[in-house]
Amino acid sequence: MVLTAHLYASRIAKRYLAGIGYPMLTVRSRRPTGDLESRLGRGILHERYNQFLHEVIQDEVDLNAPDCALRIMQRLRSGGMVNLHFDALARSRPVVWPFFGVPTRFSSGTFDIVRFTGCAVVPMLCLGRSTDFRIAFSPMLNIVSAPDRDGFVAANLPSFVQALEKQIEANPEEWTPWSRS
Amino acid sequence: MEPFLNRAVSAGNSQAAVRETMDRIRRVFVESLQLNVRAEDLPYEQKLDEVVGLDSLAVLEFVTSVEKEFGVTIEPEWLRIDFLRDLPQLAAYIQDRTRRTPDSTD
Repeated sequence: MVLTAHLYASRIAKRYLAGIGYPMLTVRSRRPTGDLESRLGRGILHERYNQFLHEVIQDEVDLNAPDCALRIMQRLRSGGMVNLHFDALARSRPVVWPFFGVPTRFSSGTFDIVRFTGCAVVPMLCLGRSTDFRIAFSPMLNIVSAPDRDGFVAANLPSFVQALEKQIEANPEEWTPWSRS
Repeated sequence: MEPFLNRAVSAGNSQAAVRETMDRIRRVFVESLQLNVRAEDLPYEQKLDEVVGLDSLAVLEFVTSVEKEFGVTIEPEWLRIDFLRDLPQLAAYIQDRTRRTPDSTD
């Protein structure tokens, strides 16, 4: 599982990786949020936005689809990669933890998938500056086992959050916090 | 023989064995998802997700519980809701997987 923050270059990085033989299933919500919850937003803008992103990303699964977790598991068991934007604000089953000192809702479902599949979790940094374009993978996170679900989340959430904070702190201009909803 | 058992039994499994496997799957379904129903009250022919609304992660919980119960790994191509929700079909598959020796799997 490849963990990223909402960085400008993450989508183009995934297209590039897919192009050289490393496709990555992207998990994202197709549901309208925030400003797009108005009638105009839901009816027209969000649909077009979804269509646009789908054409960019192509290899994606809707977070709200009933088979989302199965498709993730299917991809991981086939030896493939799955990308999660872990700084996205969780709507269901959230777990709250400080993110840059601010209590933030993270997805606890991510930890269910890691626990059930036993997959490795690797942070990916994608930078798309005018001078250079970089994709960097960090060493995989040390996953701590625990006897139950809550224990597993508590044991591993801090390192997931810390990995993203580290990337964003080093490259704040690349982060797009408004697209996290 | 009930029509829903036809496929499972004709795949080389005995009717009694398939029924037993279906009973175990029903129990796993109820226990893993902590449902407030009795496993034996679930009709064999009813699709599992018609018993209770399942969210995406609940399906995963069910799959991993089934795998643990039978000591098998469901192959990626069968990780599909339309397959997993069908009790006789899933039971036949589990029967087939458990029959294979470790040397002949995958």
